[in-house]
Amino acid sequence: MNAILAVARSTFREALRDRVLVLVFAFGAIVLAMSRLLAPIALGEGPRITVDLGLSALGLVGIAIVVLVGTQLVHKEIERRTIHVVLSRPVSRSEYLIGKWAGLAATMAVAVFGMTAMLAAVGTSVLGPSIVGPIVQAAFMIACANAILAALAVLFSSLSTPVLSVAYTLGLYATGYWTNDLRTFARQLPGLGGEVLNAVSYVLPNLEVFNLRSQVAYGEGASVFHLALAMGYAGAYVAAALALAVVAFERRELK
Amino acid sequence: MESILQLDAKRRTTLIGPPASTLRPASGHPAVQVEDLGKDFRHPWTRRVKTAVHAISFEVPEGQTFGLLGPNGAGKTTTLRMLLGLVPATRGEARLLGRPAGTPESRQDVGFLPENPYFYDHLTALEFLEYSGELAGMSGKAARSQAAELVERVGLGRAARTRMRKYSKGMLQRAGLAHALMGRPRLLFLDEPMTGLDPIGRREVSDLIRELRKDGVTVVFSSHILHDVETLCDRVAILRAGRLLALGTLDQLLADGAGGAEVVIAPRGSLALPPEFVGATIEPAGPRTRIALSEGGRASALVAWLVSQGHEIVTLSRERRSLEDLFMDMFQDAHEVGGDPERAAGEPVAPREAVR
Amino acid sequence: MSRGTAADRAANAARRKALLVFLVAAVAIGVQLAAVQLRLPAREPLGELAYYPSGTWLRQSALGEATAWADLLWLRAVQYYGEHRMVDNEFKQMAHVFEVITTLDPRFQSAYVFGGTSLCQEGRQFEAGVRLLEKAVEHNPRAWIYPFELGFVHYVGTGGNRDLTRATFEFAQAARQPEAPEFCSRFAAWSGQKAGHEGVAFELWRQVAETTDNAYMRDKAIEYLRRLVKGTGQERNLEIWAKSLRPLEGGVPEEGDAGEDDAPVEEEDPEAPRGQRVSGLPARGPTS
Repeated sequence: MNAILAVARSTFREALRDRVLVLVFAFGAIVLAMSRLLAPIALGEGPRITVDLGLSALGLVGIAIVVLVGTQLVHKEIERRTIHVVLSRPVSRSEYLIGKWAGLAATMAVAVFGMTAMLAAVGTSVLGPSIVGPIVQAAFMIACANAILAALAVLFSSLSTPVLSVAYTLGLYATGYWTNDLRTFARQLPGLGGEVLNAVSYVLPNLEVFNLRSQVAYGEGASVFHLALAMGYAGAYVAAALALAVVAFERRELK
Repeated sequence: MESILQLDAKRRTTLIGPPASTLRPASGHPAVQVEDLGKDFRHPWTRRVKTAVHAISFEVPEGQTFGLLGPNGAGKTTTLRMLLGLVPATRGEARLLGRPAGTPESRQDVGFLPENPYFYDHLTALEFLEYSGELAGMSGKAARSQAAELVERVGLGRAARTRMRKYSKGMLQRAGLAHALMGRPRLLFLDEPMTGLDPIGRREVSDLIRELRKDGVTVVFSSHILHDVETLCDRVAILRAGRLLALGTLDQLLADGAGGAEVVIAPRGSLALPPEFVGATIEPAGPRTRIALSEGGRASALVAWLVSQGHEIVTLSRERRSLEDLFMDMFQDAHEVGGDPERAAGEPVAPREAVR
Repeated sequence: MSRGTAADRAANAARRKALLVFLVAAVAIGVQLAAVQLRLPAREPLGELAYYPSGTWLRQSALGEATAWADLLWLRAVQYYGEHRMVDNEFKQMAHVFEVITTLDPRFQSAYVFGGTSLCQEGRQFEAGVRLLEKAVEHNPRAWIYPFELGFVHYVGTGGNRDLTRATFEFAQAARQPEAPEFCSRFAAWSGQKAGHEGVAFELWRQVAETTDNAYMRDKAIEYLRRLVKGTGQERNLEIWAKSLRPLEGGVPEEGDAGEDDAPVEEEDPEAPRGQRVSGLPARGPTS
């Protein structure tokens, strides 16, 4: 456990010093400010648009960190051979990967929840304090979705180059919102093709589960049951992705 | 018996400590045990196999300083990486401090300095060492304390608070050494430890290795700098193209009878050598006399006779091959040992070290 | 190697040259751009809205950000409306854009209401406006506002599209939804009365009288009921029923809470049939 925490702390510190967090945070703040500036031409929809665009910025902030930091996390260490520093210690490869994911998830969470605080403050000023609860719920769900993507980024980073890792991670991010449509197509496809497509739709991460943006835009939250199920799904998916990463990485030759 | 000889720049050797055969392991098992260890690399597309290390076997008792010698591409670094689990072995077995190599447990009490170390350039040396200590299982406080001590020991001083992206190669090497020493390891692997160091730095590292040896730390270091190996190692393994060519103490490897000997005496009276020392040359050296023998094996007998004649022995020096000579000979006319019933050159038959 | 003074001067000279080139290039770019813009044919304001793909495609491409895209499109649509309102009152792309917005966010109330009513009125695209509002009802069946707006556009009926029967039906639908304001049933009753559906109007005025908390509104409702039952022999029953209603305070109309003033049309229609017996509800749906 110590090793996992040590690796996580080091990963987090590296992300902080890389200034990625600052840049992404600044981007999110700019989007929030611009959405307020546009409010006068929104014909009465200004407050709702502020919250809606703010949540979108929050989601983008999270995915930006996962892609910018996570997709080169392991590969960079292998290329630079700094991984020898870690793995020449009594640290297993699984502890290393879990620590890397934990550090990346912590970085992402800090960015997301920092933005959430800003959005909650702005949202309260335009829609009242009742919007804070739904915003926090939506942000938490965004963080859970990004935790899944972080695990996938670690998996790809431990197997391939940063360019491919970015492509795979973004690909799964996109298809994560199409799983319901895939199932619809699967039902319409006859025979084995339909079954395969259906199976694929269950294997792909279903990110729509974590999407509360439209509810929050109208001042609503999600039920405790939904939140619990979504968290459980995220936890299981993260575990599965990291387990795959460990299986692939355990026998990898380190140059 | 200790044998301490004067060092001549090219051809003589100073030995530290007794030869291997008199060493006793401290804990009951060797620090490093390698049996038929080998590594093949398969090309991912063509599937062609390249053997980096054939079946090699050796042992390193605890407390010994052991050198892995060989030209570039000999398999030294691959061997170290297999022992540390950075690269999975294709065949054979190895144990570190009695634990199967490649497992996280086997790396407990083990330190490693990689070749041309590259560390986290966003960290200062102190932060890096603290991280290293935590990975070794130390608490944050203990790691910070030991890190502060080690940065002084390796000569980093105030630079320890600067981010490592500004370090020179030598400073990185020192930081790497400190990293290897975090957690007070019992077994140390050093891959080309002198790289990038100036002469003062090299001297400091050599002294450090000697200190570690006194503390009972087992040091395995790989190098292609023969002088370092000659001056620091108790025993040496010589690799070439993934095969073990020779294994033994330097005495065993170098004393194959090829060298001569030289005795300098303060003569008491006339000097007439008996017939058994035919071929010896005698020449005055000021008030002294220098007697050179072509066969170093007769040096003891000569000394005994001179003493019996009342002459005073000033110095006795044994000329023998340098490691460089051995190296050059080997790589011009190598006889392969690994997987072969022949013995390693100069290696007495001993159950653990016999080469199969 | 430290830079000597000569090296510094050379570097500064090179920097000044580069800066000059940059400034000249920037001016050239500005001039060229202005010249090119003058030569280009005038574009329809925000004409690119014509090229927006279908809402369904956009929704799938939005990767969970459909409502954000809807918001951004809403801002564009508002600009589009404003531009054309000032220039030519032609809103060719409005139906398409609001269709896209409401597909991206099926709960976007302002888009439905603003889009629907402005398509029906300024846009002179009555069918498109009605389709948009019907879509709103389909996606938000428990919302009162959308049937109310449908009733409104059919009651006002710009361009000869007045349909009082449809208006009555829609206002009545609105009145049935949760949290529907009181005026929905008044609008339904009035509209039904004007359409000649006295049975419907009777039922709706009766509801208003029974449910309103405003004494003035109740008095008005009872007054309309009296007109409807005049000559039917039910007058006495009506009075007995009126006296049985729970007492209410007031009687002086409050601001924004008038009976006839609430109705879309201020004058009583002299053609409205009188003295007819209470009949059943008209057929559901629009008459045309």
